[in-house]
Amino acid sequence: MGIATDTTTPADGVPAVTVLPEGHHHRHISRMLILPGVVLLLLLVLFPVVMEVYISLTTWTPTSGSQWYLAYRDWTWFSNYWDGLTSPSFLHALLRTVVITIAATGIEFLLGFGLALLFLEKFLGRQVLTVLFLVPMMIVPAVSGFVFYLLLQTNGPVNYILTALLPGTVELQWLTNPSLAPISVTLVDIWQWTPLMFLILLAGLMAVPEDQIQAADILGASWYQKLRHVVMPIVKPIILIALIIRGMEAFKIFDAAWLLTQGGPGEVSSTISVKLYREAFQNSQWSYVAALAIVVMIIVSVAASQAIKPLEQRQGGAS
Amino acid sequence: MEQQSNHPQEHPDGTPGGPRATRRQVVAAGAAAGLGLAIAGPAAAGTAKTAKRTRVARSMGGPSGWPGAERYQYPPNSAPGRAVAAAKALKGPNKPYQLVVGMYPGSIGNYSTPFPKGATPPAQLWQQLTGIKIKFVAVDAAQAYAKNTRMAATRDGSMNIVQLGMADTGDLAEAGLLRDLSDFVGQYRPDWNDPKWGYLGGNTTTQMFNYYNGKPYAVASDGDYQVFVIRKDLWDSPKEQAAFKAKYGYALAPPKTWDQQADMAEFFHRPDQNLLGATDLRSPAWGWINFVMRYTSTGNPVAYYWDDNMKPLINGPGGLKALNHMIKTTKFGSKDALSWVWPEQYQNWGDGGAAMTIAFTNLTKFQKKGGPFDKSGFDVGSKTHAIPMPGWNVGGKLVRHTSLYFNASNGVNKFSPSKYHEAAYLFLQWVASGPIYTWLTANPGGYQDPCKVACLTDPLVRSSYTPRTVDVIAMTLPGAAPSITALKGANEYIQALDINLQKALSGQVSPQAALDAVAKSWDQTTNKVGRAKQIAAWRASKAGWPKIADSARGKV
Repeated sequence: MGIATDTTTPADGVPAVTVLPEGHHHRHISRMLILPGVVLLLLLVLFPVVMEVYISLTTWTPTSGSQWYLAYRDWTWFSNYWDGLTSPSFLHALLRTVVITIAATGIEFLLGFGLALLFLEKFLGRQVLTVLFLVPMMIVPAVSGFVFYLLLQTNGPVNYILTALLPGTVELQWLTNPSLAPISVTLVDIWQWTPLMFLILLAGLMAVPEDQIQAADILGASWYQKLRHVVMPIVKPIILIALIIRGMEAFKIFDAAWLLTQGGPGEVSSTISVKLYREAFQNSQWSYVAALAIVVMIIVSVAASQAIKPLEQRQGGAS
Repeated sequence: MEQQSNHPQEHPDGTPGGPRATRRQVVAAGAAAGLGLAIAGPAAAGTAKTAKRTRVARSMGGPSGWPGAERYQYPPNSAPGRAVAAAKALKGPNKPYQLVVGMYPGSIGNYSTPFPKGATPPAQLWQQLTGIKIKFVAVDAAQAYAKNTRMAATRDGSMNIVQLGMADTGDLAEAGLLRDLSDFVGQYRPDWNDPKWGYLGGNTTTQMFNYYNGKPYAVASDGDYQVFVIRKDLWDSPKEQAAFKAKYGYALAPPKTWDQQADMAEFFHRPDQNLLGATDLRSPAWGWINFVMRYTSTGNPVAYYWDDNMKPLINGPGGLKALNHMIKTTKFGSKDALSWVWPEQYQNWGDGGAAMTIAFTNLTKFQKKGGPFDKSGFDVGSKTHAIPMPGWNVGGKLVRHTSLYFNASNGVNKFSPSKYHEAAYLFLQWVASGPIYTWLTANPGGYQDPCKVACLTDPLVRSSYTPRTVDVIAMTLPGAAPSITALKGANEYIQALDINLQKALSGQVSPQAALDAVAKSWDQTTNKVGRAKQIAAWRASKAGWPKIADSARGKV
């Protein structure tokens, strides 16, 4: 509806009054009503971002002795960004985190989707098992990290079980072998977060209309054909959302990496969060960390916006 | 007065910190004290046991009302006496109702737990004496640095006193969080350098503990020195002695050099018998100190981390020798050596699972029969024998240095109301004074460790840490080499060392490549902080470095 005015004709000396149409009036009021919320949100979001960008352009740290708003005295333009982007340690951490994210999210999806398909069918004890499968997700990551630290000791239960199952004595150094340490961190993430994937995908699968499945049955479709041609098109957006959410979370993995190995030995399991934590809270390099955090934020935002495109296209096509 | 000989010495020259004791004097005093206690100890203990509840003498301050309290009393004209009198005399707006003290949870017990049972806890005693209440706020030790830097960033003055690790002093002083204490030190003359009540090692230790860039910013309240312990039953076994001599060609005796330590670690490494050769830690954040002790002993009298122009020396022959030794002996420890931290180490020791290890001095405090680590009933406490840290023969001369890290200190928060800075400092002077600190250390309610000369002769401290360990502390602490401290960015230097040691220990890079990476990283940090500024701080910190190669020479 376009904006139009309705001007009354002056009659008996009464001046003309411009009456705004009802739609415009409502929009104005609604804008005014949400204004405080928008201002608050802008302050909450914008202030930290602006502050972070500002600090990232300086060499300020709390140990500089001056207050953060005086950081301009240590102005350095983009040197922190350059230092970060040319730092092998940062780039390796970034690459490592990408690999862990892809591996963890991929395996969590496969396991979660498989479990969700199994749990679509009714069977005895399904409810109890569903709750049990969700337990890892409910455990505080710090606790699960500590538990796995104990489980993955060379003389710990995991190697003990493997020794019982495999020939010979298994003495895998899960936490101290440079090849195994990142795998251990990934495994803990998979253990803890597969239930979330399972939960989201199960909800998605349960939302598939029963009549469409029945129609496919009547037409003689196989299980795979039903999955591919009926179920997948419907749950695809859910899968995409699950992958995006989990991928973004996995990218920020910290607890498992810190508690199991502190990013080590050396830096082989140092994820981007561990790297930022070290630089910020052990080395006090706040401006450097601010720059790195912005780089990471841009990378994650670009990746997420690319990942979400199919959803937008789908929405565009639907409307 | 009967206890006259125990009273703190007044500083005759009136200089800040009092007369400076030489290392030789302190070592001699410590050794003599240890010997004297061996003779007089039982008698003194007997006296204490039968003593009636004593009352503090008219002119004496400090705890009272329990047998032995007189050991911790002091005259008015002493460091603790002056602190109490000055705090009491504070008037009007300069006298706080209470001081808020940030402190590691494990230390609070030293101040708030009645010891002995029924005694007034130190914090409460301070309140009785001065009218100033102490409120403790627990600050997790692992998060203290991050919290303190956040406090600096936000100019948070909610705590009058903050607790920090020794390595953080430079950063927090530069951050403006720590107040320069020079004026108070000059005015109230703490007993830090007093030969009887001061820090072990005298002024060298004072400089290492409390000074940054030539000024006092902190007051140490811990003694996180490293002590080397062996299972004496193994060394005393004629069977083991014969087998060792047959294999290595020399007698089995407590190792004096790191080479001997490697032989003995190999000899006793018997995982099939649940016995590991040596379990000094190698894990992130815990292992680097064991490199430091190997490294600082590669030079005579000591190997420094940098030359006078902050050129790293760590990647020279000394560093390589130290790291190669660490790599070589890692296989004689746990298969998880790179992830073991102190709980695994202490429990393994409690189970009699290792022939030797290196730990904080409190290892012997906690390894008692029926204690928290004696779950297997092995009673390793009766078999644990402390010895001086091994070293290297440098040009035919044995060089041995222990070291210390973490080591809690306290500082006055510059952002807290300035009118209360004086009261905050006076509290720190009181608790860090010889008599009160000794009383605090003896208290098993907290984990503060001995660092004062007076602790060496105190029957409660000796009983708690075992007389042998206290004697070794007396011998070796005056020759302790500082870990990386008293520099801005100390934690960043440590971090670079720690990470690259891990890389070498896990075989990711060669030892030389690891140390070269450390040197490169250290240079970057130095340049970032400002080379000229850092050179000045480094040169000033050298006042806290030992001048003698082996303070235990001739004593064991």
